[in-house]
Amino acid sequence: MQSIRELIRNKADAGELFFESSEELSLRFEGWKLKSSEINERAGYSVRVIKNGRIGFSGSTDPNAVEDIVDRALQTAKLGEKLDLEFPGPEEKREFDIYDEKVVELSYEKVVEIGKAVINELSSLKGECELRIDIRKYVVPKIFFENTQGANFEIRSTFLGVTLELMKMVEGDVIILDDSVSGTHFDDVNNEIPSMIARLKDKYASTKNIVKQRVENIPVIFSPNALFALLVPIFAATNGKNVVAGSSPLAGKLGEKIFDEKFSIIDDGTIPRKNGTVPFDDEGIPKNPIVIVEKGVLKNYYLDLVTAKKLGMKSNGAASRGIFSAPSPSRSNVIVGDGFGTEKELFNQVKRAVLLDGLLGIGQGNVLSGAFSNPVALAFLVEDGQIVGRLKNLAVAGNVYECLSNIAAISGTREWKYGTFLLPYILLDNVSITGGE
Amino acid sequence: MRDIILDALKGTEGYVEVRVEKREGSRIRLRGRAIDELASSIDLGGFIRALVPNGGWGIVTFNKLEELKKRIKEAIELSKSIVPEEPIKLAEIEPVEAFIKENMTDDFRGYSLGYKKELIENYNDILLSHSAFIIDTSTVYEDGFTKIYYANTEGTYIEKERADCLVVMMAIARKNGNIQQAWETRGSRVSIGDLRGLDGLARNVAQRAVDLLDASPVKAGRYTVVLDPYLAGVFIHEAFGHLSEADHIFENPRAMEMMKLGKKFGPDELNVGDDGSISGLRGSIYYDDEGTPCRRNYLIKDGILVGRLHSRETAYKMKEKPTGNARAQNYSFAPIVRMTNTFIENGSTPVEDLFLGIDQGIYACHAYGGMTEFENFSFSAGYAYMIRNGRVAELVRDVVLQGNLFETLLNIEAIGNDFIWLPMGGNCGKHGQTAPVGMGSPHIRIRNVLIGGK
Repeated sequence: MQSIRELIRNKADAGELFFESSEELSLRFEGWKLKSSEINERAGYSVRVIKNGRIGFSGSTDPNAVEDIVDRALQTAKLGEKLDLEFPGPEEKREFDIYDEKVVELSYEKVVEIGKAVINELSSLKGECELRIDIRKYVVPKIFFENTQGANFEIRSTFLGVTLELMKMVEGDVIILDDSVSGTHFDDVNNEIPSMIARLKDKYASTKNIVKQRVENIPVIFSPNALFALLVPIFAATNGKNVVAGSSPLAGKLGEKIFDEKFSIIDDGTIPRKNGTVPFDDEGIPKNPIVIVEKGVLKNYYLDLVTAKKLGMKSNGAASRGIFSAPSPSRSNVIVGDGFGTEKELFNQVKRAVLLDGLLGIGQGNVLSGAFSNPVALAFLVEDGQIVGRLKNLAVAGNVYECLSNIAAISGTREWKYGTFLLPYILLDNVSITGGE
Repeated sequence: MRDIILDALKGTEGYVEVRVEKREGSRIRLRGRAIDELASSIDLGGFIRALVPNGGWGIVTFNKLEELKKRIKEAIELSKSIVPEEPIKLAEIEPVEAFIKENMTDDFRGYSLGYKKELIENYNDILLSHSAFIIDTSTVYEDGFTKIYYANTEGTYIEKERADCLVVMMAIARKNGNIQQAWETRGSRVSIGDLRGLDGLARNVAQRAVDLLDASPVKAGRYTVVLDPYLAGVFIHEAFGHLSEADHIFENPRAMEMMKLGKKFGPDELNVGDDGSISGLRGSIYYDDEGTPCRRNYLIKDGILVGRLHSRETAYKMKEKPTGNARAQNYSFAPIVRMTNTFIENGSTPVEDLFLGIDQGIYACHAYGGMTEFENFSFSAGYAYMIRNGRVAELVRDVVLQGNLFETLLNIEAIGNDFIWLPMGGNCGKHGQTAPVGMGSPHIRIRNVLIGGK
């Protein structure tokens, strides 16, 4: 590492060195038994340089090619973007609670035990379903960052995640239900497993009653599972890169009311013990909450140094990078709100609604336009506040800029999904929904 | 390298395989007038998979090659710790020794990064200057040269080279808040020259994005649809190809029932297959990542389900033969069952005739991509036209084809006679791994397809 640092100082006008090492243990249980175990160890460097006002980048996992990496980066800098980029200077040390010795010390045998316990709890479904369990223990013993302006940090973090997929496949009917818990600390994850199993069992039970009713443009409730489909276009539109390029429909709209005033999005990379939390972003900027949308008004984009410079703004610390990828704006932990009441109270607000709990094809199609059009993987008919049965063969479509500008209700109750999203239930009466027979 | 690997495998217990890969690549991405990415990389690492008798799969991946022997021991220990209810066994294949060189007619390694940048700058400029409505572009050049060393304890030793280069061009057009996009990609295994001379294609991309601005959104409903070879290729890959991957179904007797050999899946004229042995196609791998030689595997013949795609494990479990479809994205991953080059075989209907007799239908072309969840599939057409009274009529947008695979295949009414292998540089994603794949098809016509939209 020392030699790379010296090479950068000697050969480039300015530069950054990023080193990441990680160890991962993942177990897969399939067919109601432990199927495979895997250990993945990874280590590599990436270097970004500025030479004659141009930016270059190179990454390598070949430890014998470290001398090479600065030269490669300088080679790309000859052709690179001309940008008067300034790297940030040193900041006060800070630490967030994202490293748990209990995860590091989690033995292989103990992880196997966790999986077997889940299988045991779900074994009553053995005749009807297939179960896949993925357990992932991920330890980052070291991320090292330093730039020529003196900013530097070292981070270590841990991750433990348990993902369940329950599948039932019979002629003419396929159900796939998934759920997961994850976090940086062993206790948080381990303590959540029983409620995840209970949720999955309940959901499976509720899929058994199939309702055949044509639903045409009745109100739609997006559960936290399905809500992601409405967020993907917003994430694309608030990504600094798309704003700079002018292809984001939200370019030039900071300060404007875009959505219903009940709607807000906060990106918060400071929440203790959450997967998206880090003390500094990958360019050395201290991590702080970023208000993206507040009461329907667009307040911020996701920015890194390059996109901020191009927009004449300051980076708000959303940079993420990897061994082979240069920094770019990324999410950390995303909190969507602001709502009121439980999801049951939300169900009671309309006589009849479709509860969407799973969509296919999320993120495909014309995402930047805000359009979504998805076949439905899992949906239920809600009548008088109760789930009446499962609906099949539905399709949903709309545009998030239309649909979310007039929101019937958002629940106060929220659920953590995929480890980094805290999402409510949202009731909309302006979404196109068809099918059901 | 051969000696290092073979030496490390000596005296190990059970079945062990080692795959070492070194990839050197470059990637350039232009966004509008700016350079979004410009990177050059070297990725070197190793993969080990061990299977002791009565044990499970033990897998280790690593970047430090000097730790090979230690890692092999680790993998074997992992394998021993898994006690599956049924022993995992692998279908037999002949041990083989092979050295596959990529024979490039115009080797991209001989060109500077500056040359490659100029190549796509040209296309990017065409996109940007085509119309005032074009507000953003994304143009990519990417290449990679990989050397793969594979050996297992059954005596197989394979050294493979893989070269890939591709361009992607995408234009985004905007008018009054309506945003539309169009894209094309070209890929080659043999020549950077295949990526030259695409000016006309770039103009088409830009024009299509602009035309889509004035297109009406399609009205949702069921239509007779003619798919162009691009979309038909995506369709057969997404809707059917994934269901043919045996690892989806070999643990599940009910799924095996759905995909029962001998069952009628489509019209008599329908033949579908997968072939990883065809020289120079994007999905061609010649030997899969378990050392099984690739070949033409028919999945549907004369409308009947006749085969599936296997790894050695799925083949053993289902008492069928390995097909050469065990692929891993790179050294960081274990092989899983993947498609290689998947195709609908040429039919007999002249393309013009496919449109006859359709009062109101859709001609759907190109693709944004697709996905499948067992019997349900979804894919977005890149662009589409209404068919009115047997003729291609006005452009429509937001055309998403959705449906149930089994119904849809049985609803294929006619197959065109204009088969092509798609020249695209596309990837398939499955279980967190990408794999470069090839697709080929003629135009096809399907009745009663559910189209999502307003």
